[in-house]
Amino acid sequence: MKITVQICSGTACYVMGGAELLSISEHLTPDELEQVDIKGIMCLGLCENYNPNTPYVKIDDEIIKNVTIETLTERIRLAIKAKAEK
Amino acid sequence: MNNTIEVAHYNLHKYKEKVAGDCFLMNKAPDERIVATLADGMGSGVKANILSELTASMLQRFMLANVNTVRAANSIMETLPICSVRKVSYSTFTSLNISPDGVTKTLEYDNPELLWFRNNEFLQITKKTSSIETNTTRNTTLYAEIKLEFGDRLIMFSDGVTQAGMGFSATPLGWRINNVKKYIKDIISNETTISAKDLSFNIVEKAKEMDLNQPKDDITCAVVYYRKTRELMVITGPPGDRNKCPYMVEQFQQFSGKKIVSGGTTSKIIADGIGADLEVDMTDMHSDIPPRSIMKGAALVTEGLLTINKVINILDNENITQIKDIDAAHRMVELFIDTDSIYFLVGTAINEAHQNQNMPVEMGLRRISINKLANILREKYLKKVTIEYV
Ligand code: FES
Repeated sequence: MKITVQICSGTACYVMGGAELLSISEHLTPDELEQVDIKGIMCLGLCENYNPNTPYVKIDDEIIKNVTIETLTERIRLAIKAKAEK
Repeated sequence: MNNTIEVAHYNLHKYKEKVAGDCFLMNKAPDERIVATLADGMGSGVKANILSELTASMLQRFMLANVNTVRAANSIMETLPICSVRKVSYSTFTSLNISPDGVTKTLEYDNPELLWFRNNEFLQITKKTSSIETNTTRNTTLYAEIKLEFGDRLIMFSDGVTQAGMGFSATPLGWRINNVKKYIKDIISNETTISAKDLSFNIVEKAKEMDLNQPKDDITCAVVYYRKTRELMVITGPPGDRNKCPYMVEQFQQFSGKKIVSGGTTSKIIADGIGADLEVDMTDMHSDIPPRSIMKGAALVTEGLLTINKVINILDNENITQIKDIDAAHRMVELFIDTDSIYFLVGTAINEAHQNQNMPVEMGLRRISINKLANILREKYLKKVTIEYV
């Protein structure tokens, strides 16, 4: 099973940096790309109530907030590593 | 009425001529009839222009008043100025009087023959003649009554089309009606639902090409496309009262035309309601608005406000015949352009996230954006628009 990376492309996340995150595959190696399934997802529903923590990404079942390209790359690498150690 | 009479024309002036010698006029009668006339004034330049406009506007007035075709023809023939040298009327014409049910009265005088196209072939129009003696000459007009069916087209053009290319070694006698017909048939069989606008444009551009891009005469073509009304539904925004979600889903399912869903939460409501998958199209990457999503049953699924605001911008400012970068907003624009009647189902829930002070772009209220969009569609694009708020 690949690791699922769901990048929120809803309005609030998109304008707060999510747009850039959608190009995450350009920051990963071909080997890494083999192991992840990168998807967009329409509003994860976490942006309500004036939540200042957009953009969001979901890696498998884990939600990460305030994501940048750097943190996302790092989190994906960690997830790959964790899976390999299992 | 679920039928639409789509009419469009395209015209090029004779090379280096500043005014048109051909004149095309189209009007809608209060009873929804469409009347249209293409008149070709003899010669070119200002004289031709005045005469073709005079002829066309007289015919339009007769047709609008639904005057008996023969009587209209005779009155025109009696009134039209006659060329003192050539003893013929100054302006040739083709005139149509189309009822919403498809019954069409035609009247022709010396233009290339009116073409009637159905199911990949040209139909014969059985015409009667009406002759009238004017003080100098005898003029014969042709008239007919036909019944259009959905998908039928009527195509008329000035002789600038049939005579295009005349005198060149490849086409000494010009393009000629049979070749024009063949060309039209090819275009339509390639694109069976080609719009009146695109078809008339194609024919005129081809004629111009045959004249080596320097038209030797005015070139005009008008097309009538009689077809079922195209309906489009846009669902956007979650309902103010969440108990109304099933109503939205039901409206979506029952609507028979094409459907657009705009907005993340809204898309989820519909997808859950109809049990469909919702998937973001990761190949649809553009910088300023989020990618579209794919959902069974919807022609287009997009993000909400950013996309709608971009659509408004495009419809208001861009030359939409030259769309290049196709993102979700442009896809929405294409669906709008290609439709006659648009039904907006607008949810009134306020998205608090958009009121966040940290947002780098200004997010107005959905209702305001949709009203603006509806007004542009009505006023600039003459679409029939209805809005329902839930
Ligand atoms: S837009 Fe990302 S959680 Fe709502």
